[in-house]
Amino acid sequence: MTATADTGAAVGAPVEPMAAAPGPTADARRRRWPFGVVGTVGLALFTMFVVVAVTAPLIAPFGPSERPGTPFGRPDSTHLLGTDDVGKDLWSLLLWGARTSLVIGLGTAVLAVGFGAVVGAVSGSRRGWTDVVLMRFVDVMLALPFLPLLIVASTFAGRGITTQIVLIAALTWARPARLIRSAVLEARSRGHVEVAEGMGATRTRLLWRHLSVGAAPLLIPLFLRAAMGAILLEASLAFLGLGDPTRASWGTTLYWANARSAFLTDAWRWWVVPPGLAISLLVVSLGLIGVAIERRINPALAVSS
Amino acid sequence: MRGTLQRVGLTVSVLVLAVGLNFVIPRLMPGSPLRAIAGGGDVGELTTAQREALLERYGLNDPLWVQFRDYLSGILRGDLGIALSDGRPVTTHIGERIWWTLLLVGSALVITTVLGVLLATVLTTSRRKRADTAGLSTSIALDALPPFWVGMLLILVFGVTLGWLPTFGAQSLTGGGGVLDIAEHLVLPVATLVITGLGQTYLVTRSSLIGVLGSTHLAHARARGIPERRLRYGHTLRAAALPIHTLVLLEVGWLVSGAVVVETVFAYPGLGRLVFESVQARDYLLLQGAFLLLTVTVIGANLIADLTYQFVDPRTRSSAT
Amino acid sequence: MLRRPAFRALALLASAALVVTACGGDDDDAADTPDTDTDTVADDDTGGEGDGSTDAGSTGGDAAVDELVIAIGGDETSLNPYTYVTGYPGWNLLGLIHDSLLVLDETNTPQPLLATDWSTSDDGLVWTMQLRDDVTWHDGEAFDADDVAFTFDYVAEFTHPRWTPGVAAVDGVEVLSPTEVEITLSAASPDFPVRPLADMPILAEHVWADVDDPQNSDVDQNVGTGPYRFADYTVDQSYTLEANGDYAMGTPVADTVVLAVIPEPATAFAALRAGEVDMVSSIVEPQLVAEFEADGDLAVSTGPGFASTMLNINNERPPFDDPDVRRAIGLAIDPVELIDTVLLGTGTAPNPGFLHPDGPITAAAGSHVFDPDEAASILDDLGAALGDDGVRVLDGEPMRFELLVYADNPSRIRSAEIISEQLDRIGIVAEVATLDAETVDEQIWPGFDVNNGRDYDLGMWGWSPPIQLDAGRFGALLHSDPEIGTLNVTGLADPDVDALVDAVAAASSAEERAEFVGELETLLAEVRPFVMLYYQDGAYAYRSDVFDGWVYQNGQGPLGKLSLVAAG
Repeated sequence: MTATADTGAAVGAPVEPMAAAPGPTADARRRRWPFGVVGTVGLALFTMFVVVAVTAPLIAPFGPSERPGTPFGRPDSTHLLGTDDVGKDLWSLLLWGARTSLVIGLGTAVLAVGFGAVVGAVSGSRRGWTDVVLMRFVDVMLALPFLPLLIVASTFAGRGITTQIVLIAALTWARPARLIRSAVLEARSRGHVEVAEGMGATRTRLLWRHLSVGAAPLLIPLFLRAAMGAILLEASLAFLGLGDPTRASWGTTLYWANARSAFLTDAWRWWVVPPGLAISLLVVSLGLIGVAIERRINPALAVSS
Repeated sequence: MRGTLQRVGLTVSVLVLAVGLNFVIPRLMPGSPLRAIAGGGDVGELTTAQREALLERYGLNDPLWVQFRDYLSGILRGDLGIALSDGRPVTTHIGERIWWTLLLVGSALVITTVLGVLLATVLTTSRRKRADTAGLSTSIALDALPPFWVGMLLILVFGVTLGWLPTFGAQSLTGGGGVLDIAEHLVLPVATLVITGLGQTYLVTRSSLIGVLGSTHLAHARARGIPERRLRYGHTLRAAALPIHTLVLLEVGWLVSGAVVVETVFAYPGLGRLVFESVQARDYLLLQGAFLLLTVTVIGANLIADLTYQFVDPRTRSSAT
Repeated sequence: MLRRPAFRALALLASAALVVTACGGDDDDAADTPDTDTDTVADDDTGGEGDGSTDAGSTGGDAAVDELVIAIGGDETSLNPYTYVTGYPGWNLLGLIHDSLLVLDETNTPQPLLATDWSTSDDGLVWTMQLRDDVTWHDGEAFDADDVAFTFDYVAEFTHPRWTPGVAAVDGVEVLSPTEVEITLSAASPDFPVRPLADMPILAEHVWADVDDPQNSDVDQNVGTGPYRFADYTVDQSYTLEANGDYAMGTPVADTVVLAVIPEPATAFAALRAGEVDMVSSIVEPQLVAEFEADGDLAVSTGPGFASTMLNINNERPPFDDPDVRRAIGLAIDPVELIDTVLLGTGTAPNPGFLHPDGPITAAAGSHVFDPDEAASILDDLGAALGDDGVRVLDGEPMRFELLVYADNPSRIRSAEIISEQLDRIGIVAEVATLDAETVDEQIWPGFDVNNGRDYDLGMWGWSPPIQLDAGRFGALLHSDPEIGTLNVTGLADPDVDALVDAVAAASSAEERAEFVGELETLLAEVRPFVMLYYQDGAYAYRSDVFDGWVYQNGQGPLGKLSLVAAG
């Protein structure tokens, strides 16, 4: 308990003088932007995506499987982003796609990083046989061939969106686990945890301490990476013929653009760029939120301007 | 020392388990390798006896345990069997591809790691929030681009429109194979891998650095009056080395599993493509062999990672059991 | 096309040499241009600026080319008769290295090749073939009748998936003289010249005699009599074929043919534009044709395609065991919408009797009837009323099915989506399941053996072009006896169909056969074992500034011997 407080103070103090005189302006800004400018922008973007995903049925002019236009239509007033190879409205697909991509991205990230974090933290803080057994399990997971496993699993489990989330998470949690373990080991070796250990902190508390001090900053990029990875994996799997290209998502829109050669015509401007941009923006918004959280929990970062 | 021996012993048992799974998984995939064996894209009109004979030649009609026994004894003899598609030894197939994959993925891995760590260190420790935010956003945004998308774009710009670089392959079709020729073919695929892979290294490095920046360790060092520059690149980076080390060793599996999407886009003859095609063809024997390589490499890399933690970060030594 | 200055200089030198050696005899190239069935569009030869459109021995129309690079989608292993991988382009490329006794021309009519002439006995059982005496194998050995007899024996002994079934009807091959063989059949076969004679390459006895594991043979076995000899192979990257200067049956048009393995079609087309390849073996997407035609250096060779796309119905599984249900499904599907949407019109409307309307054995092509109202009333009559959720219920079961489709086939996935919409309109749900190809095959055609049964409702399917040339294989699609109906993946079992298939097989003359084939086509429209959807037209892009002599073989495309060998 005391450890964090101490750390915060200890770090905050020597850094302060180096910062370019934040003074009252910084305070005022902090009051006006409770999440910081960066966090607010991130949050706004993310909220926008969530709103779009939730309200897609209301705001999308057409349904995700409707084919209101002619194939390969250019953008016009009815179809803001033109139409795809079978005449589906690309603007509507972009809006509907937010749903699938958000659900797949966030769902997979929560599952994979959550499970990975638990395994990594337990492994890193318990050491001994627990660590050995868990890490060897991770070794096996990492060494398993991904593509055939996916084919096997989807054969037996189907290709629904939930299945795909669970599947991707089940196949990808091992990396976060290993990275978090190494971060926990690193944190463990730092003075304060050993102090806490010496002070007889309980095991569970130690676990949390390890996680929060050592792995928390790492959780954010791992989460981002997992979310991004899942959104992209959906597109890549379709590219390799292992996905479900009939689902409306940003990934499948990109898949179809590639499969129907949008890259070789000028259609890439309205067919490829919007979903690509959407994926990037969504992930960047998550990243910005992550930075804001980091800066709150880690004062050393917050002070400089 | 005893710990190390134990660790190695455990690794061997993990290896055995993984090898078992590598045998089972390809055979769990629905479908048959018959088409790969027969060739000619046309197996419909064979009689049942003819089909059986084709499978028989590869021992694929034997009970599974016999096939597994043959596989294991083959591994011990260094013989991975022959590919169902063309009857050449699996080791030959892997041998032909592995250098291309090592070249492609290895170059990408080195560049990604160096560039990622460097950028992250400079931008994160610059203590300018704007630089940090910009670096982070850019790396995430680049990372979020699908590899086939980036690859196609690079091909169209540098291969077709500008005509500076070749659009496909690992070397020129005729008269290729020179160092310059191979390097020229390497540029676009490596660039694709770097662009889409940089973000991960950047993010992990950055978060490790942040952990260190917020630690007593650095504060103490600073209090001792160590110059800021040395602090930044020496202490900070060294302290953050562990997760970076782990990350790089995690990526080693990538070295031998190949980068299937990039290899497909650029028609690069790497292992990723080999595995992918073997999956499609249900070439069990080739898959077993390729997976064995993957397994040995990944598990070996993890063993190395574990055994070398203490050298990378001497402070873990005290608590190592 | 060649970007590097050093190469360009070399190429110019090489082509200068070529122009000297290649002149004469090639001015009759016009004779090779396709007939009215097919056409080669947009060879705008004016060139254009671009990079190096004036390069090297490549002026359009003049047959001599120093190097021709063709993009193929996958490795073909050692590309010999027993090891090539794909029916297309593998078999077509095989024909550059190897020769068969006969060869199909642009209209798929057998013409002399290694055999100069042939005659048939009145009962159709004995075929006497005259052979060329001026042919040598690539290794210098002379070709003669022994090689022919050897080939038939060898293919019968060592299973080849494509030719062994075809030579099953051969009782014996007798060598009458080095230039004459007599082939005796156990049953008359009007298609014998098409398959195997124009399909099966003749193997060199001195090369193959000791090979007892042909599926695992390698490049050493790649000794043919064909216009190009196998020169080099880099696994999964490229093949190099060199012109056979001694070729007796024509003149190879290129000094070197390079096959570049490029798995991703978009990359192959990018390479075509960049001038790194000169022809792409896969079909150009229809929306790109105009784009390519606008480029002065590119052209697209188009014509009918014999590859079929169809909806397979599992005839064994209720409710599809009732022909009325299958008919209703057929009536609910509108192939025109598929062709217009997925192929942008570049497809031929289906003959419900399977065979392509322009096919050589097609006798009575019908046309698809689209009538969703009629479909609905058939279902109503069967008692399949609409349930609360808008799905019909037949015999207590909701009419909700799975529609399988290869995940690596974009146009079939799109077709499946549209079919699903069309069926939805009459109250039938067909959920599209995109699965990897082997997984789909395992359900529709387990182990590629119809004896294993089948486990699916509906499936997007297609058969490759050769089946359109051969009445025997047409029958194999339909017969209920698994020994005859080796391709009967729908599980059709209809005594009338069986009887007609038997009649086709027993027909001794082409006329008699055509009559039965026609009846069979008509009957299929009634029985509806499957729903024919379309035959996608071929469209193959090439660099007209490098080589412009592509000959479109009806239904099969331009890649092959017809294009790459000039007459004389």
